[in-house]
Amino acid sequence: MTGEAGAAPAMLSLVDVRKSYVTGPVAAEVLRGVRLDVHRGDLVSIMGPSGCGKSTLMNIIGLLDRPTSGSYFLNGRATGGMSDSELSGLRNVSIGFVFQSFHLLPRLTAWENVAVPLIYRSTGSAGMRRRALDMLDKLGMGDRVDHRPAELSGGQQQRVAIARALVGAPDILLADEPTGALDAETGGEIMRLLVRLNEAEGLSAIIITHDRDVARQCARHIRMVDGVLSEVARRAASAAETG
Amino acid sequence: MTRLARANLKEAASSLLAGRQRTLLALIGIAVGVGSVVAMMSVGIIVRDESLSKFRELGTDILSVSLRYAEGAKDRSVVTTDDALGLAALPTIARAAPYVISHGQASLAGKAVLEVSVIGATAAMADLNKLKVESGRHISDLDHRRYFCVVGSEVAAVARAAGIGRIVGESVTVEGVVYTAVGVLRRTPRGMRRFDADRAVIIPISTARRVFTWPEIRDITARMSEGAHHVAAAREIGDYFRRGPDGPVVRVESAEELIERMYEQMRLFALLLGSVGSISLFVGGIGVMNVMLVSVTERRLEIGIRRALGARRADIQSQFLIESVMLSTVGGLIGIGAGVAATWGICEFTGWTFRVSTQAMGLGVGVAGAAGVLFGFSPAYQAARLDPVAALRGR
Repeated sequence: MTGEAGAAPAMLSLVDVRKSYVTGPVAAEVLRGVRLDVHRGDLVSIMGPSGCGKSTLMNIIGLLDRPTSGSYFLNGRATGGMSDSELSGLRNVSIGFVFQSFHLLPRLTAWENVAVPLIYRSTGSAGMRRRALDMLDKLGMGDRVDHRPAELSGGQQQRVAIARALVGAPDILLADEPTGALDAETGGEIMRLLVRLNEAEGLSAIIITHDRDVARQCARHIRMVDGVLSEVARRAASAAETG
Repeated sequence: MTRLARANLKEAASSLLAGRQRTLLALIGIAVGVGSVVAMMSVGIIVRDESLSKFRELGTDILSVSLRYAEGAKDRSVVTTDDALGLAALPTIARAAPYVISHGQASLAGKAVLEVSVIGATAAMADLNKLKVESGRHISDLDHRRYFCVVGSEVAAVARAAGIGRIVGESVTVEGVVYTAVGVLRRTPRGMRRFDADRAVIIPISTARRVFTWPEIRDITARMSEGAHHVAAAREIGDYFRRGPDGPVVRVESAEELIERMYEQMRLFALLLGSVGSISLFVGGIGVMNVMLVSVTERRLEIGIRRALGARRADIQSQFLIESVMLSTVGGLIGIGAGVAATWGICEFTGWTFRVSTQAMGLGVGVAGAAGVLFGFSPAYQAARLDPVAALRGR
């Protein structure tokens, strides 16, 4: 699954990544030599049956977990030797997470939720509120900024969560079943939003899904079976990649 | 960092409010503990001040001797001025000032009338009681049986208010006896003295013994010799006045003894408050730890989310530490109130001068904060060490 020869170096690159868990007498290998290159502007879907290792892969790409062996390069930097604190910093700057069940902090308002990643920036975060409001506005949530998550519908909560993932201008958005908790119509809206962000602004994203329709909307479509990836389809480069 | 702190404070407040009952129990423990610490230190400071002021007032080498006679005591058992002055011959006593005291209405030049203490005194009186004249002079031993007097500052103030400009030379009438004022005293705080010098009219002791109905010596102020101990002095004085079965009962009070008694009382309070304080601080601290542990458990998902969004372990740790410090500081503030109230109660009980000690309050806040850090550390550490993947799964 490496990128085409002669292309720019990959923004994100997994080389022979393996992950095994020791449970009882035997070690279960969940990832068995994953290779994956993602370039700036890629919209990648990863599909696979449950238990195939999608979430583990996502946690490794998201720097929440470390591979047992293999290498992971982000923007050309090897992440293997990084300390927990360095990984946290990189997560804050480079990764934007979107979860199936939104995972907003219930006691904070929409804009405060969006601003949380900015709180953890070591550089001063002047205009934190402004940036959060702008991002919410961009995602069509400008009139709900002071609502708490419980006062928002599922689709609205997921928009706030996407705003939170994007507010820090990450290199890549990692979405784990972003439409999984939504009805078909709302899920479709969320997918259209992500595709639009990809096409209009060159947002790079990896979307984990078991929904064929969702996967079909992504330029790159990867199947995961038993801890290995195989690229199923690769459409012509998206608008952002050429532009 | 300030933004982070502010965000954390807000988060902490709402999360503490969520677990009301547990929070309340922890608060009470910390409050009682801090209250005891504050009261303990306040009482210590008050006693120190009190003893210092007593010391500064008259010096710790001053003794108050009082003689109480049995009903119908024979003349030969009555202590005379010369007997009392003879105290100075004792090795432990440097100087003695016997005085007699009575009360009556005083009027100046037939005008201002007020209730005064009339004190018959020797020249040593002014020195041992640290009385100073503002104008004129003190009573001297050469005023033997003369009708001269020195008036206290309040007496003088009343006279001035009544239009008497110059008091020295004016006549002062007390209970029908007319004296000529020869001096006016400066304002003198009462302190340990047995009389209020501001509302006194001081006359020669020889005159007083003629005028008063009960002229026997009942009170003596004495100064100890250098290096003498008050217990030894009290024993010597007791022996000196021992005159058969119907002799006077002698009581000797000294600043040193009073201070000793005060410190003893303080130690008792300190022991009580110290044990109550440390026990309740410990109980409160465990309460804080419990609140925090529950909070960490209940918020595993939140911790996972924050970690995913880029929070470092240190960020999570400080978030929970801030929460526990906040909890215990609120308890501490309540405790400071309780401590001040307890101090007031103790002062009412002992008669010490109540005052609020900012030092003690500062210590209270410090103790509360320290308890928050100490007992909040372990839960915060646990929160920080959570595996983000497991925390995100809510496990």
